[in-house]
Amino acid sequence: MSYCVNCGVELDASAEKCVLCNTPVLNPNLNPEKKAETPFAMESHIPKSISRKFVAYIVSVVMFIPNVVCLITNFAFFNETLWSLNILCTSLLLWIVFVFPFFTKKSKPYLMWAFDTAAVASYFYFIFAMSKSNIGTYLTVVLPVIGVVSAQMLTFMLWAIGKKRHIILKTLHLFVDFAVFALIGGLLIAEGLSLKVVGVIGIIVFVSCLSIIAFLAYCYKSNSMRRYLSKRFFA
Amino acid sequence: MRKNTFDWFRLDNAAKIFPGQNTRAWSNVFRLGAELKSEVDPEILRVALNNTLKRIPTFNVRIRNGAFWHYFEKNPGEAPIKPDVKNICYRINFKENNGFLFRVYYRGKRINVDVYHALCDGYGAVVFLGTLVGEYLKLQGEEISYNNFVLDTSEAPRESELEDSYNKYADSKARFKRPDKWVYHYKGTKMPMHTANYTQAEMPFEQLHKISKSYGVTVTEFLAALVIDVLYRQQLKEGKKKQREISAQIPVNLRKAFPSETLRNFVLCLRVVIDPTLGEYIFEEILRSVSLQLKLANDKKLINALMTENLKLERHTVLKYLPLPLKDFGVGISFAITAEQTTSTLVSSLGVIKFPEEVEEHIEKLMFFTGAGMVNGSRCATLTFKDKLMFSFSNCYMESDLEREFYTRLVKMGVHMKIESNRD
Repeated sequence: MSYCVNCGVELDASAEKCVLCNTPVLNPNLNPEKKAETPFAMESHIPKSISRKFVAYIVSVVMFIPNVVCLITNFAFFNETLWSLNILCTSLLLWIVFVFPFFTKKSKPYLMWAFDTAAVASYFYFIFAMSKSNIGTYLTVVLPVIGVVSAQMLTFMLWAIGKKRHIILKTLHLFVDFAVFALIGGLLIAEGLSLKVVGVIGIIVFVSCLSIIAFLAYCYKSNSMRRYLSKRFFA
Repeated sequence: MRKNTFDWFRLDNAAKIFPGQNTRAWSNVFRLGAELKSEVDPEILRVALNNTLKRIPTFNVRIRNGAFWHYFEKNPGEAPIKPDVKNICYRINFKENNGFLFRVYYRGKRINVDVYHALCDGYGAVVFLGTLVGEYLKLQGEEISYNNFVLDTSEAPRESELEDSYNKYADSKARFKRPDKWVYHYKGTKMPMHTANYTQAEMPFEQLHKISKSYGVTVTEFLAALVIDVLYRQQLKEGKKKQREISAQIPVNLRKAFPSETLRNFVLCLRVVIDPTLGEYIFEEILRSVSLQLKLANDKKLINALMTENLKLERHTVLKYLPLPLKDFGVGISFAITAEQTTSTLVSSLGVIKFPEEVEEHIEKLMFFTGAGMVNGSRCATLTFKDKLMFSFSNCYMESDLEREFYTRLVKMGVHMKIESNRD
C-alpha cells in the first residue's frame, strides 16, 4: 500500500500520484510489471449532441430551395424585373449573419464581424444599384450608419471578449452604444434624407437612454442598491 | 391493489421538478455501488436485474409527457447492463438506455447503479441495490435472508412501496419562507460537459464516531460542519470584500418522521447556514451551530410545513392546469435563479446501512456519490456499511483544493483514510 507523503492519506494500489495533491507515488515495494486495476473505469462515455454543422447544412438547403424556385419562376414566367435577385441577396445576407457562424468549429467573433459588416454594406449597395436610386445617398447616409454600428460592435467586442465584466457594466455599455447610434444615426438620416423627424426621434431616444445609463451607473457603484434590487427581484 | 397500478403512475412531488431541470449541465443522477468479494458475472447480473425490476416496479418505467404533467409508464423493454464508465453520474437522456431512468454498470468486483433522482431517493436506491445484489448472490447459489434493504424477489410488490408519501402526509396550514439569499460558491476551472471529478474516502466508522462523540454531535453533523468549515476558510482565503453566507443542504429521510414504506422519493433538504458577517468562527463554533440548527430544523411540524409549501404548485387550482411545456420552462427558470444559488454545498448521508448477514459477508463495501452540481464545487455523499464510512466529493471543477483540505483535516485528527478518484 502507498501513502501520500504530503497529505498522509492511503492511496489506491493503482495510483501513480496522489489524487489530492498530485505528488508522485514512489513505492519500491510495488511491482511495476503487475499494475493493479484502477477503481474507476478509464473510458468516459460522452453522450452525442446535435452536430451544429449538420443543422447548418440542413438550414442552408432549406434556404437554398426557395431561392432556386424563385429564380426559375422569375426567368421563366415573370421576367419583367429581376425581383428574384432581391430575394437571393436577402437570403444570402441572412445566411452569412445567422448560418455561416455554425460552420466554424470555434467561434471567431472578429472574423464574423468583418464578414457581417461587408455583407450588410454590399447588400445595401446592391439594393440601391438594383432600384437605380441615388448612389450618393448610399455613400452619405447608409454607409456611414453601417460604419457607426460596425465600429460600436467592434469596440464592444474588444472591451468585453476574454475579460470579466460585470453584467451591469455590460448592459451599461450596450445602452451607451445604443444612445450614440440613435444620436448619430438620427442626425445622419435627418441630414442626408432631409427627414427632420428622424433626427428629433434620435435625440429623444438619446436622452431617454441617458437616464437609463445614469440609473445603471448608480446601480454599479452602489452595493446597497444592488442588494436591494437583487432582493426585490428574488422575492 | 388497483389493477393498473403498474401500468402507469404519477411522478411524486420531488420528482416533478427534475424533468424541468434535466439539462446537459445538471444531471440529477446519483450513484450507489457495491464492491463484492468476487468478480461480477454480467450474465447472472442481467437475470438478477430482471427479477429485481419485477419486485421493484417503480424502476421498471420510462418517463412520458402528459398534457399537464410528466408520468411514468411501464417500460416494455429490457434494462441494459454495461461495463462501467469513468464519467459516472452523467446525464440520463430519456430516449437512451431503452428509456430506463437508471443505468447498471459492472467493473471487476463492483456493481454500480446510476439513478435518476425522479425515480427514488437514496433510501429507495439502497433498497434497489440491496435487492439486486441479494438476487445476484441467490442466483449464484448462496443462501440469503431478507430485511428492509434486501427484498425477496419472489414476493409481489406492496402498494405502500409505490405511494406518493408527500401527498399523503403534507397537510400543514403554516406558510414556509424559502431562503432568498445568494450564498458563497467555491469556483474553479470547469470540467468539460458530461464529466466531473469524484473523490471517495474510506475510513473506519469507529474513529469518526469517537471524534464526533467527543464533540457531543452525530457523525453526520460533524462531517457537515467540517465541510462548511472548509468552505468558510476557503472564502476567507479568497479575501473577497463581501463575505457571503455558507449554507449546506442536508437531506433527511422522512420515513423516520412519517410511517411511510415508499420506495420512491420521500426526502427533504434541511438547510444550515453560517454567516461570516457575524464575526470570525472557529471550528467548534461552526460545529455547535450546525448541530443546533439541524436539531431545530429536524422537527416534524416544520418538515410538514416545508412539504406542504413544495406541494403548492401541484395543488394550486389554476397553476396545476398549466400546459406541461410552460411548467417545465417555469421550473427551469426558477431553478436557475434559486436552487444551487442558495446553497454552497450538499451533504447527503444515508446513515448506517445494514444488510442481512448472509449478504453482508459477500460485500466488501458500499459506495455513494451524488451527481456534480452546476455551480457548487463540493457536493458530498456519505454512508456507513459494516465498519467503514465512505465519504465522497463530487466536483464540477478541475481543482481539488476542497477535497484535499477536508481529507487532510481528518487525517490530522487521527482518522485513517484510503482515497480513490476518477481523476487522471
